[in-house]
Amino acid sequence: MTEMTQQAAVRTRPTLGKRFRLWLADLRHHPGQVIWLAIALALAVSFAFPLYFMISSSFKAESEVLAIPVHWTPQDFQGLLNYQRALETVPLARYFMNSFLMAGIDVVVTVIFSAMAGYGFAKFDFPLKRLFFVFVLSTIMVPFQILLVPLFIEIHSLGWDDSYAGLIIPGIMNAFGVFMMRQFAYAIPDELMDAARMDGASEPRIFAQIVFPLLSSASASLAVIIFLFSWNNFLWPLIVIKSQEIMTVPVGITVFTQPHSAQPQWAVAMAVSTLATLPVMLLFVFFQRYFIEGFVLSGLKG
Amino acid sequence: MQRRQIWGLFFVLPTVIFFAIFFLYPIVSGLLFSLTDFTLLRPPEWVGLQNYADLLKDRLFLKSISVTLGFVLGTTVPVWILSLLAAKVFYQRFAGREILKVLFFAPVLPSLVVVAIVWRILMNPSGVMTTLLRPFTGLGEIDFFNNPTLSPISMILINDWTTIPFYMLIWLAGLTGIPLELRDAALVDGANRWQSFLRIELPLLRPTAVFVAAISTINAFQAFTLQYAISPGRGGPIDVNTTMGLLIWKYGFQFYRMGDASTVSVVLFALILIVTILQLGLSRGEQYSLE
Amino acid sequence: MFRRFVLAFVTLLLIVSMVPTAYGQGPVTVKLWMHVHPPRVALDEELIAQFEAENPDIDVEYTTVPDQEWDTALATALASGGGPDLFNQATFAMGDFYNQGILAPIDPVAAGYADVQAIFDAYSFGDSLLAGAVFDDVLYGLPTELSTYACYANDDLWAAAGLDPATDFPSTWEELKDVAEQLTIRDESGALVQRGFDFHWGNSIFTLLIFNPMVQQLGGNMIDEVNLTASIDTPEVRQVMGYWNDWVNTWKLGGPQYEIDRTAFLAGNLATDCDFGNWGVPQMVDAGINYSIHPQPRWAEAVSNNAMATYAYFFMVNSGASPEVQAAAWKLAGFLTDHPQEYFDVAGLFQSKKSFVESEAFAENEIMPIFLQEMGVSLYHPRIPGFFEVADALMRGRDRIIVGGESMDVVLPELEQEVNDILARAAAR
Repeated sequence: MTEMTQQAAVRTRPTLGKRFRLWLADLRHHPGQVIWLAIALALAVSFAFPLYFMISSSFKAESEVLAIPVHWTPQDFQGLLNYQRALETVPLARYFMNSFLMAGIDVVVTVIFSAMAGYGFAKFDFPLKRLFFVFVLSTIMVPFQILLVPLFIEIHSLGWDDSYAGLIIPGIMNAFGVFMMRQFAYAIPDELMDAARMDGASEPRIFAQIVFPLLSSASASLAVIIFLFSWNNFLWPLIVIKSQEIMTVPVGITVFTQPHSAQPQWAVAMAVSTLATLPVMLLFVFFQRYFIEGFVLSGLKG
Repeated sequence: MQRRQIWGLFFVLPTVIFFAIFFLYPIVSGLLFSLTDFTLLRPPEWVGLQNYADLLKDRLFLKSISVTLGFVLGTTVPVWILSLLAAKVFYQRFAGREILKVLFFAPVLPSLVVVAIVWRILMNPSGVMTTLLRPFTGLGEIDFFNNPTLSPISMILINDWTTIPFYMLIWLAGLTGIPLELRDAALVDGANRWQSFLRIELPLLRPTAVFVAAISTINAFQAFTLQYAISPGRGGPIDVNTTMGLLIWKYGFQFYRMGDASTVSVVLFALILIVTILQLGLSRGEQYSLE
Repeated sequence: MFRRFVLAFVTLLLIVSMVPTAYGQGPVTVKLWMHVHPPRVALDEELIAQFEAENPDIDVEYTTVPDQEWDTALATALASGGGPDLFNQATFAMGDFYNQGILAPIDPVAAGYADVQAIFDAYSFGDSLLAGAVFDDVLYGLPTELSTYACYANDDLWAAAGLDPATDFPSTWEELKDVAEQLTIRDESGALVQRGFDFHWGNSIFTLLIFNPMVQQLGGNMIDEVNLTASIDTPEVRQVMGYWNDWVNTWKLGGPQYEIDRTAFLAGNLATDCDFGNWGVPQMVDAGINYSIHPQPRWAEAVSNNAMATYAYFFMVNSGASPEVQAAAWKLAGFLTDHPQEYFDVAGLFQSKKSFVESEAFAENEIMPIFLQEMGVSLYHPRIPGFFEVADALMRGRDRIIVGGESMDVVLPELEQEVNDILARAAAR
């Protein structure tokens, strides 16, 4: 992880002034690209605008958010007041802790077990292998709503109502991770493992010390994607969570979308929304490469 | 059994057992629940196919099918086209491309709950969207969420906003995989850009095209969060936004009709299965690899 | 054969979880569930500690559950054979719980009263206000919070329009329309900048808390909670629906497309709002609104003097608990409801105990006499099984007419049939 952070830091370091000069020179040499630049600029601005409005509204006074005519920038700048109010309205720190806990466990478990299963499917032969693989893979195709009611009842009969176990465990694995890891595990030369076996290494040890490190790039892509899905997961937490103690961020902030919530708190809602999006935004900025790779590979959006 | 076989199972079984417990079991029990009158308040009683027969007369259910199909159509076809066009733009070489791509991609990141809150503000009757559209409409107020015609369109627009950048990225990966020589060869042969796109690129992009169509369809069929968090009265007005995904929640967790909720789930599953098989059938012979 | 196997399988699913509750010797434990309401929780805990000190043979296990999760949480907990012994149930979904046989009749002696009549006598407007927990002439609970809505006027906005709420506040719906018109501000494009008055459109339960009481003022009633039937295709419903429809489509004074009335009122964009309870006062203070409180309008030709629906929360006892636990639970409920002044002062929760209502402190309160007076003449919303499903259907019907522009001649008969079907199905389960 530290290595990747350094790399990212190094990549963004080259001085901005120099980059800008290069950019201008490039533009002058190839004027044809101006059209594409203009189209792309229009696309980027129109798609990023709602998020700009979210962030800028989080610094507005309450009456400004829905003001007529529209306030495009905060005119009565509130500083961090709305953020402070958000923290007073709901136990946001607790929500964040729960979301980080859930996403963290999801990431660790998914990566490790997907790597294990992917390796097993790629490099071993055993009875029922094909059946098992098709079974695991088929879970990608099935919409979650089908599972909603029976899974809720199953969790209930396990006595996991309104608990971290009920919240986290049913979503802790992801078939896509298995599929992705299998693809990467195929690429590992058999000789590496065979040599280790000759030296008398045990199978778990080969996995931990040889195979898993070779899967680290794939693991990073899988990890950021799982983090995003888990962080934004809504439907299952909505159903299973009852108490504030285990509430996650997306469910907790629906308080601000309730039509009958007591207070008009649009500015506070914008502050909360900004906070809720901040972790994934940071993750995206720092681990962009893994993000894009993971997205392209997963083909899923929560 | 050989030692190697046992180790293979050792690596694979935790995952297989997990999916058996938290996937296969609930699916089977969901099928069985759909044959009972389970209410959550009382143990289930067997009713056979009665729930299915009742659904055929259930206006809310019949409406939810057309609502869902409308949403699927509105989100798959435009998204397929627009994300391809956006990918063509970001495939060009121009200065500042990377930073603009990041900005364009940003809507994929926030959770749909956040998306819902932000768009409820943007689409307030006399808010930002109305102001931006005023030069074209001349209207001081646009009722984006309460007008029964406009409301589903608003949901589609919002959904497309958060998904187009994502599918753009997949198209882009597909485009990048096309050898430049092939395209250049076509251009040398006198084809214009459009012809080269139609004759060379599109056929080569076919696996990507099928993939985008299939995944966006499956996702659209499951629509729930936007309708839950935005539409008035959770699915309104007049249930024009009550998708099957939302109906399952309503029946199961608001109306205590777990049996009916399970029945709707089974029907939704069947619908998705049929459409997916049809789509895969159309692309028969194509082997799409995720790599 | 297959059928029996499946049935056994499904039942087994549920039975697996039913951990039998053991009733041993020693102290009785009462599991108590309350809503999350921060100001009240501290007082609850203080009083429970006092109760446990006075009753060493009773332990209280106190749990708080968020409001929006309450019904599902309680339903699932009860389904598993667990769940609370004593719980604070809102009147809305109470019909479902009664219908399932979950509620135990009150034990007046354990609760500290001579008999049931003594309970009714201990409350101001006892007959009408305890009616929220009466089914088939049997009392099932003690109220922890009684509520109805009154009208709040934003005095500053009224003054700006040259009106004085103290003298000009309308007493009829007909007059309300004229006053709202004077208080409405539109911009040059005709868009509403400030509304004079508006209904609560956003949540389906208001079809039963506001719309139906307006029908009842005219002598109608959409839902018969005893026979579980609907009568919706009636002249009274047509009159009220016509008024709501004109409000949006003819007079253009408001409607579902605008910001929720409560939010708009607190933001200073709505001059009058008639669905805040007495619990709205701290919100007015927070928002810095200069307000005054007024009774609800009635129809000029009203035959019933009811205001908006009364709704309430009641302490109720789980009929599945053992007799000792039930007795201990009622004792606790009796104790906790014996502190109406504290609950009102600390948490704003109103109980109409005579000991409190007839005190000087209450008479000096600026707003509560208005609320109590309105409650005294008002009716509970129907407490039916399938409450939320019926409300959902009523809202759909309302919107077909008001938003979708369909004719009442088409919608009302269909809606009546639909609600009858829902009630029949809900009653059968």
